[in-house]
Amino acid sequence: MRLATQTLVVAGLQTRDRRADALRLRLIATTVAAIVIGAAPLLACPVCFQVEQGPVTDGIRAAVLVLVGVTVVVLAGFVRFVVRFARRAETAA
Amino acid sequence: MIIPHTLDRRTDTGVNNVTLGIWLFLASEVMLFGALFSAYALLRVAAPAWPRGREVLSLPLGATNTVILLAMSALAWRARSGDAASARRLLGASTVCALAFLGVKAFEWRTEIGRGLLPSVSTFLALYFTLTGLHALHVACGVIANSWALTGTKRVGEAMTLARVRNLSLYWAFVDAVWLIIFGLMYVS
Repeated sequence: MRLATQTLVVAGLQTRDRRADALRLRLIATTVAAIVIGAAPLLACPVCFQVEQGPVTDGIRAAVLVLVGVTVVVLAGFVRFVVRFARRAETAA
Repeated sequence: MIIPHTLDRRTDTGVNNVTLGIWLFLASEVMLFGALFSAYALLRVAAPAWPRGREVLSLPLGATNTVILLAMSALAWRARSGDAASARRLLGASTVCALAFLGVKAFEWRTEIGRGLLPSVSTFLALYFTLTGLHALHVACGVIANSWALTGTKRVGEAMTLARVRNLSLYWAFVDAVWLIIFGLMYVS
Protein backbone atom coordinates (compact mmCIF):
# COMPACT_ATOMS: atom_id res chain seq x y z
CA MET A 1 0.00 0.00 0.00
CA ARG A 2 2.78 2.35 1.03
CA LEU A 3 4.83 1.40 -2.02
CA ALA A 4 1.83 2.02 -4.29
CA THR A 5 1.34 5.46 -2.71
CA GLN A 6 4.99 6.29 -3.21
CA THR A 7 4.80 5.18 -6.84
CA LEU A 8 1.75 7.34 -7.41
CA VAL A 9 3.47 10.34 -5.82
CA VAL A 10 6.59 9.83 -7.94
CA ALA A 11 4.48 9.36 -11.06
CA GLY A 12 2.61 12.55 -10.21
CA LEU A 13 5.84 14.44 -9.79
CA GLN A 14 7.11 13.12 -13.09
CA THR A 15 3.89 14.24 -14.80
CA ARG A 16 4.21 17.67 -13.23
CA ASP A 17 7.89 17.85 -14.33
CA ARG A 18 6.95 16.93 -17.88
CA ARG A 19 4.22 19.58 -17.90
CA ALA A 20 6.68 22.15 -16.58
CA ASP A 21 9.21 21.12 -19.26
CA ALA A 22 6.58 21.40 -21.99
CA LEU A 23 5.55 24.83 -20.70
CA ARG A 24 9.16 25.94 -20.60
CA LEU A 25 9.73 24.69 -24.14
CA ARG A 26 6.62 26.52 -25.37
CA LEU A 27 7.78 29.70 -23.65
CA ILE A 28 11.24 29.46 -25.26
CA ALA A 29 9.74 28.74 -28.69
CA THR A 30 7.35 31.70 -28.38
CA THR A 31 10.19 34.01 -27.30
CA VAL A 32 12.44 32.88 -30.19
CA ALA A 33 9.57 33.28 -32.67
CA ALA A 34 8.80 36.76 -31.31
CA ILE A 35 12.47 37.78 -31.64
CA VAL A 36 12.76 36.39 -35.18
CA ILE A 37 9.51 37.96 -36.38
CA GLY A 38 10.13 41.22 -34.54
CA ALA A 39 13.65 41.54 -35.88
CA ALA A 40 12.59 41.73 -39.52
CA PRO A 41 14.22 45.16 -40.01
CA LEU A 42 17.55 43.65 -38.91
CA LEU A 43 17.55 41.17 -41.76
CA ALA A 44 18.72 43.78 -44.23
CA CYS A 45 21.84 45.85 -43.75
CA PRO A 46 20.74 49.51 -43.63
CA VAL A 47 24.01 50.54 -45.29
CA CYS A 48 24.27 48.24 -48.29
CA PHE A 49 20.73 46.91 -48.73
CA GLN A 50 19.88 46.64 -52.42
CA VAL A 51 23.09 48.43 -53.38
CA GLU A 52 24.93 46.00 -55.62
CA GLN A 53 27.91 48.17 -56.51
CA GLY A 54 29.47 51.00 -54.62
CA PRO A 55 32.55 51.84 -52.58
CA VAL A 56 30.81 51.33 -49.23
CA THR A 57 29.52 47.90 -50.26
CA ASP A 58 32.98 46.94 -51.51
CA GLY A 59 34.51 48.22 -48.28
CA ILE A 60 32.15 46.22 -46.12
CA ARG A 61 32.78 43.13 -48.23
CA ALA A 62 36.56 43.55 -47.86
CA ALA A 63 36.26 44.17 -44.12
CA VAL A 64 34.11 41.09 -43.62
CA LEU A 65 36.53 38.98 -45.68
CA VAL A 66 39.52 40.16 -43.61
CA LEU A 67 37.73 39.50 -40.34
CA VAL A 68 36.50 36.08 -41.47
CA GLY A 69 40.05 35.25 -42.62
CA VAL A 70 41.52 36.21 -39.25
CA THR A 71 38.82 34.27 -37.39
CA VAL A 72 39.42 31.19 -39.56
CA VAL A 73 43.16 31.34 -38.84
CA VAL A 74 42.54 31.57 -35.08
CA LEU A 75 39.94 28.80 -35.13
CA ALA A 76 42.28 26.62 -37.22
CA GLY A 77 44.87 27.10 -34.47
CA PHE A 78 42.37 25.95 -31.86
CA VAL A 79 41.36 22.96 -34.00
CA ARG A 80 45.03 22.02 -34.30
CA PHE A 81 45.33 22.11 -30.50
CA VAL A 82 42.22 19.96 -30.08
CA VAL A 83 43.37 17.42 -32.70
CA ARG A 84 46.76 17.28 -31.01
CA PHE A 85 45.14 16.61 -27.64
CA ALA A 86 42.87 13.93 -29.15
CA ARG A 87 45.85 12.17 -30.74
CA ARG A 88 47.73 12.28 -27.47
CA ALA A 89 44.72 10.83 -25.67
CA GLU A 90 44.53 8.00 -28.23
CA THR A 91 48.23 7.29 -27.83
CA ALA A 92 47.93 7.30 -24.04
CA ALA A 93 44.94 4.94 -24.15
CA MET B 1 52.81 28.18 -3.39
CA ILE B 2 54.16 26.62 -6.56
CA ILE B 3 51.59 26.34 -9.33
CA PRO B 4 51.85 22.85 -10.86
CA HIS B 5 52.98 22.41 -14.48
CA THR B 6 54.55 25.85 -14.69
CA LEU B 7 57.80 24.38 -15.98
CA ASP B 8 57.14 20.70 -16.61
CA ARG B 9 54.82 19.63 -19.40
CA ARG B 10 51.44 18.19 -18.57
CA THR B 11 51.23 14.54 -19.58
CA ASP B 12 47.75 14.99 -21.08
CA THR B 13 48.28 18.14 -23.18
CA GLY B 14 52.01 17.87 -23.85
CA VAL B 15 52.59 21.54 -23.01
CA ASN B 16 53.00 23.39 -19.75
CA ASN B 17 50.43 25.87 -18.47
CA VAL B 18 52.50 28.93 -19.35
CA THR B 19 52.94 27.92 -23.00
CA LEU B 20 49.24 27.15 -23.34
CA GLY B 21 48.47 30.50 -21.70
CA ILE B 22 50.74 32.47 -24.04
CA TRP B 23 49.17 30.81 -27.10
CA LEU B 24 45.68 31.70 -25.88
CA PHE B 25 46.85 35.26 -25.21
CA LEU B 26 48.33 35.50 -28.71
CA ALA B 27 45.07 34.20 -30.19
CA SER B 28 43.20 37.04 -28.47
CA GLU B 29 45.80 39.51 -29.74
CA VAL B 30 45.35 38.24 -33.30
CA MET B 31 41.64 38.96 -32.98
CA LEU B 32 42.37 42.47 -31.64
CA PHE B 33 44.66 43.41 -34.52
CA GLY B 34 42.44 41.48 -36.95
CA ALA B 35 39.53 43.77 -36.07
CA LEU B 36 41.73 46.81 -36.75
CA PHE B 37 42.92 45.41 -40.09
CA SER B 38 39.29 44.76 -40.96
CA ALA B 39 38.52 48.41 -40.21
CA TYR B 40 41.49 49.36 -42.41
CA ALA B 41 40.08 47.27 -45.29
CA LEU B 42 36.63 48.85 -44.88
CA LEU B 43 37.93 52.42 -44.80
CA ARG B 44 40.50 51.98 -47.54
CA VAL B 45 38.24 50.24 -50.04
CA ALA B 46 35.32 52.61 -49.34
CA ALA B 47 37.48 55.75 -49.55
CA PRO B 48 37.16 57.76 -52.77
CA ALA B 49 40.89 58.57 -52.64
CA TRP B 50 43.72 57.00 -50.65
CA PRO B 51 47.21 58.50 -50.36
CA ARG B 52 50.35 56.50 -51.11
CA GLY B 53 52.00 55.76 -47.79
CA ARG B 54 55.54 56.39 -49.01
CA GLU B 55 54.54 59.89 -50.13
CA VAL B 56 53.06 60.83 -46.75
CA LEU B 57 55.23 58.91 -44.29
CA SER B 58 58.98 58.45 -44.06
CA LEU B 59 59.83 55.17 -45.77
CA PRO B 60 63.50 55.19 -44.62
CA LEU B 61 62.44 55.53 -40.96
CA GLY B 62 59.84 52.79 -41.41
CA ALA B 63 62.42 50.52 -43.06
CA THR B 64 64.93 51.27 -40.27
CA ASN B 65 62.36 50.27 -37.68
CA THR B 66 61.61 47.08 -39.64
CA VAL B 67 65.29 46.10 -39.58
CA ILE B 68 65.52 46.91 -35.85
CA LEU B 69 62.43 44.86 -35.07
CA LEU B 70 63.61 41.91 -37.16
CA ALA B 71 66.97 41.98 -35.36
CA MET B 72 65.18 42.17 -32.02
CA SER B 73 62.94 39.24 -32.84
CA ALA B 74 65.90 37.19 -34.11
CA LEU B 75 67.82 37.86 -30.88
CA ALA B 76 64.82 36.89 -28.74
CA TRP B 77 64.34 33.73 -30.80
CA ARG B 78 68.03 32.84 -30.52
CA ALA B 79 67.76 33.24 -26.74
CA ARG B 80 65.49 30.17 -26.70
CA SER B 81 68.38 27.82 -27.34
CA GLY B 82 71.24 28.01 -24.93
CA ASP B 83 71.94 28.35 -21.26
CA ALA B 84 70.40 30.94 -18.95
CA ALA B 85 73.43 33.26 -19.11
CA SER B 86 73.37 33.55 -22.91
CA ALA B 87 69.56 33.80 -22.84
CA ARG B 88 69.81 36.76 -20.48
CA ARG B 89 72.45 38.39 -22.66
CA LEU B 90 70.44 37.95 -25.84
CA LEU B 91 67.23 39.07 -24.18
CA GLY B 92 69.04 42.17 -22.93
CA ALA B 93 70.20 42.91 -26.49
CA SER B 94 66.65 42.44 -27.79
CA THR B 95 65.42 44.89 -25.14
CA VAL B 96 67.91 47.47 -26.39
CA CYS B 97 66.59 46.92 -29.94
CA ALA B 98 63.00 47.35 -28.72
CA LEU B 99 63.95 50.62 -27.02
CA ALA B 100 65.66 51.76 -30.24
CA PHE B 101 62.46 50.96 -32.14
CA LEU B 102 60.44 53.07 -29.71
CA GLY B 103 62.97 55.89 -30.01
CA VAL B 104 62.78 55.91 -33.81
CA LYS B 105 58.99 55.73 -33.66
CA ALA B 106 58.83 58.65 -31.22
CA PHE B 107 61.10 60.70 -33.49
CA GLU B 108 58.97 59.80 -36.51
CA TRP B 109 55.73 60.77 -34.77
CA ARG B 110 57.27 64.03 -33.57
CA THR B 111 58.36 64.90 -37.11
CA GLU B 112 54.96 64.03 -38.55
CA ILE B 113 53.03 65.99 -35.94
CA GLY B 114 55.43 68.91 -36.52
CA ARG B 115 54.50 68.79 -40.23
CA GLY B 116 50.83 69.03 -39.29
CA LEU B 117 50.10 65.36 -40.03
CA LEU B 118 47.62 64.79 -37.23
CA PRO B 119 45.11 61.93 -36.89
CA SER B 120 42.29 64.43 -37.48
CA VAL B 121 43.67 65.37 -40.93
CA SER B 122 42.64 62.19 -42.79
CA THR B 123 41.37 58.65 -42.34
CA PHE B 124 44.75 57.37 -43.51
CA LEU B 125 46.56 59.23 -40.72
CA ALA B 126 43.94 58.25 -38.13
CA LEU B 127 44.52 54.59 -39.04
CA TYR B 128 48.28 55.09 -39.11
CA PHE B 129 48.39 56.56 -35.61
CA THR B 130 45.96 53.97 -34.24
CA LEU B 131 47.79 50.96 -35.69
CA THR B 132 51.33 52.13 -34.98
CA GLY B 133 50.29 53.46 -31.55
CA LEU B 134 48.79 50.16 -30.48
CA HIS B 135 51.80 48.33 -31.87
CA ALA B 136 54.21 50.64 -30.04
CA LEU B 137 52.24 49.99 -26.85
CA HIS B 138 52.83 46.27 -27.38
CA VAL B 139 56.55 46.90 -27.87
CA ALA B 140 56.62 48.96 -24.65
CA CYS B 141 54.81 46.15 -22.78
CA GLY B 142 57.35 43.69 -24.23
CA VAL B 143 60.19 45.84 -22.87
CA ILE B 144 58.57 45.72 -19.42
CA ALA B 145 58.15 41.93 -19.71
CA ASN B 146 61.79 41.53 -20.82
CA SER B 147 63.00 43.62 -17.88
CA TRP B 148 60.84 41.57 -15.53
CA ALA B 149 62.34 38.33 -16.88
CA LEU B 150 65.88 39.71 -16.69
CA THR B 151 65.63 41.08 -13.17
CA GLY B 152 63.81 38.08 -11.73
CA THR B 153 66.47 35.48 -12.59
CA LYS B 154 68.03 35.37 -9.12
CA ARG B 155 64.63 35.05 -7.47
CA VAL B 156 63.08 32.36 -9.69
CA GLY B 157 66.10 30.41 -10.90
CA GLU B 158 67.50 29.53 -14.30
CA ALA B 159 64.87 27.02 -15.38
CA MET B 160 62.05 29.52 -14.85
CA THR B 161 64.03 32.26 -16.61
CA LEU B 162 64.54 30.02 -19.66
CA ALA B 163 60.82 29.22 -19.70
CA ARG B 164 60.01 32.94 -19.59
CA VAL B 165 62.49 33.64 -22.39
CA ARG B 166 60.87 30.96 -24.58
CA ASN B 167 57.43 32.48 -24.08
CA LEU B 168 58.69 36.01 -24.57
CA SER B 169 60.26 34.99 -27.89
CA LEU B 170 56.81 33.83 -29.06
CA TYR B 171 55.37 37.21 -28.08
CA TRP B 172 58.13 39.08 -29.94
CA ALA B 173 57.61 36.97 -33.05
CA PHE B 174 53.95 38.00 -32.97
CA VAL B 175 54.82 41.69 -32.49
CA ASP B 176 57.25 41.39 -35.41
CA ALA B 177 54.63 39.79 -37.69
CA VAL B 178 52.12 42.54 -36.87
CA TRP B 179 54.69 45.21 -37.66
CA LEU B 180 55.47 43.63 -41.05
CA ILE B 181 51.76 43.82 -41.95
CA ILE B 182 51.52 47.43 -40.73
CA PHE B 183 54.68 48.34 -42.66
CA GLY B 184 53.29 46.79 -45.82
CA LEU B 185 49.88 48.46 -45.46
CA MET B 186 50.91 51.93 -44.32
CA TYR B 187 54.39 52.57 -45.74
CA VAL B 188 54.76 50.46 -48.86
CA SER B 189 51.35 50.21 -50.49
